[in-house]
Amino acid sequence: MSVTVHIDNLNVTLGGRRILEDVSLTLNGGELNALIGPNGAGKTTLIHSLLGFIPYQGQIKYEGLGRTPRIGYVPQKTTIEPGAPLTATDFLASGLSRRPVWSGVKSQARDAIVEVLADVGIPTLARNRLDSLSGGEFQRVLLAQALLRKPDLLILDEPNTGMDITGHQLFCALVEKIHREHGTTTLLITHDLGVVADHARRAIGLNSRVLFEGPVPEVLSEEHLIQLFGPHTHGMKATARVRRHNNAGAKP
Amino acid sequence: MNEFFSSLTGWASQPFMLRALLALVLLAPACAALGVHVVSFRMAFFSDAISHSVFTGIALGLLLSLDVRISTLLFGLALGIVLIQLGRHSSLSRDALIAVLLAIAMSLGIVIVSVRKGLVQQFQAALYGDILTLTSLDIALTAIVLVGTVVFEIVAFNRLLLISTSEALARTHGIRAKVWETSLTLWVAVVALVGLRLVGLLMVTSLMVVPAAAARNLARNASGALAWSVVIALVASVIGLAASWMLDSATGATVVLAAAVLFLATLPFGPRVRRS
Repeated sequence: MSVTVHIDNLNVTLGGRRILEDVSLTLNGGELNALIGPNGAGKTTLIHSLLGFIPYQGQIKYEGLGRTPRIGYVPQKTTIEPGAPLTATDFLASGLSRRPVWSGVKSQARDAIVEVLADVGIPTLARNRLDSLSGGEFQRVLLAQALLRKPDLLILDEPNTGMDITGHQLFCALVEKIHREHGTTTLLITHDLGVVADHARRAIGLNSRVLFEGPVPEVLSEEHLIQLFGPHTHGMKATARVRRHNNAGAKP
Repeated sequence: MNEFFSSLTGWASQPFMLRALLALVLLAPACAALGVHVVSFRMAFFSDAISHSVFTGIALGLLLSLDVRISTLLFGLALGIVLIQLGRHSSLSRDALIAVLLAIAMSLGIVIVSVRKGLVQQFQAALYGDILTLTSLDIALTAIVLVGTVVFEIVAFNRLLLISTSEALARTHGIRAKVWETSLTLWVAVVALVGLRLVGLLMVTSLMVVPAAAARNLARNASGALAWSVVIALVASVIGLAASWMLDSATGATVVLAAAVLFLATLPFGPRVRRS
């Protein structure tokens, strides 16, 4: 059973500034939901509210599990300090167990790590240091740590950071594949409308308030995009339209 | 040849040197283990500030007729807490804040000492350490610091590792980053303040940072970093103590110099890092 998330009248004020105003939306269970909006729209604030990092007014309700959902989170900006002697196994094991990684990683944990790294397409990188990985490989390690939690809700905050366009597309294709295999409710924040058109089922446009919400083919319209981003979005709109057109029929 | 050999090993037959060796063998692993986090969290400057707070700690202790160990510890911990709070709430960079507080902690102590001339001797002991005149209490305190550090590394290692990667990520794992960063800061302060009795405030931070930095050149993973840091600190302690006996030099500085030589020796083994 997948978790459905209902957000009702969410208001967040930080440093005296209203970031989110009466935000109400639904993340449909088992679907890949994309959250789009300009810089400063409150996308990360919305995620931080879901994660319980910041105080908010309003309600966040989870339906379909009968318990608090486990949330897997891929953060927006994570930079590994060059020279830090930290392998993918160290990093993943430290989130799996409280047993200090310097005392050794149990074989059960090691097996789980090997398996999840295979799932995200980097089966041979378990012993590689994180500072030696490319941006795309590192993002996959971050995705692996989120998946190790066996999440009911997977949240990805602009996972394109440090990746080129191709890398971002490949990463999002991987997210979609994992999403299809596990049926995990997924929330993807991205600026790339092409990615939304290619991989998401539903899209939510946010700019302090929810401007639109619904199935991608219905809501990713020129009118909505101009409303969300202003008139300077021709390139993005064109990309999105072409990809949506190409994908028509590929998505139910 | 025999004379050289006996001068090389003669220090080991002196009770005060064995006591110094015991103290270093207890202190060095604690400093080295914490040093791994000090380097990860870029706290070297911070531990420097804490160890320099000893000036005011000693001066206040003597002025208020308190045991200087207690006054030094309390002032150092208070300074650590102030630094953490300011670091989280001030718009100034952490480095700038530390520099300001370091200046206050040092100058206040020096002003007090310049007024009360009798305190100068206490200050010299804090500057250079006095490892050859350690008491049983000093050894016991150092042993407690080592045991405490082992417990800290068992409980905190994974948490700090995740926090150093991403605080937000750590929070999704139920880790309260503020609590653990504060714990690290305060424990670094405790170890620095106990350690400066042995090697002096000028060297105690080096004993944390230099072995941990050398370990980064040799280690291929997190457990390797911890192990190498401890091994390098222990080897440097034994070599430094023996060398200080032979050269009749300041023990703390000689130990740190030995660690620095080991660091230089590890440089060629450092991994090539992708920086793009």
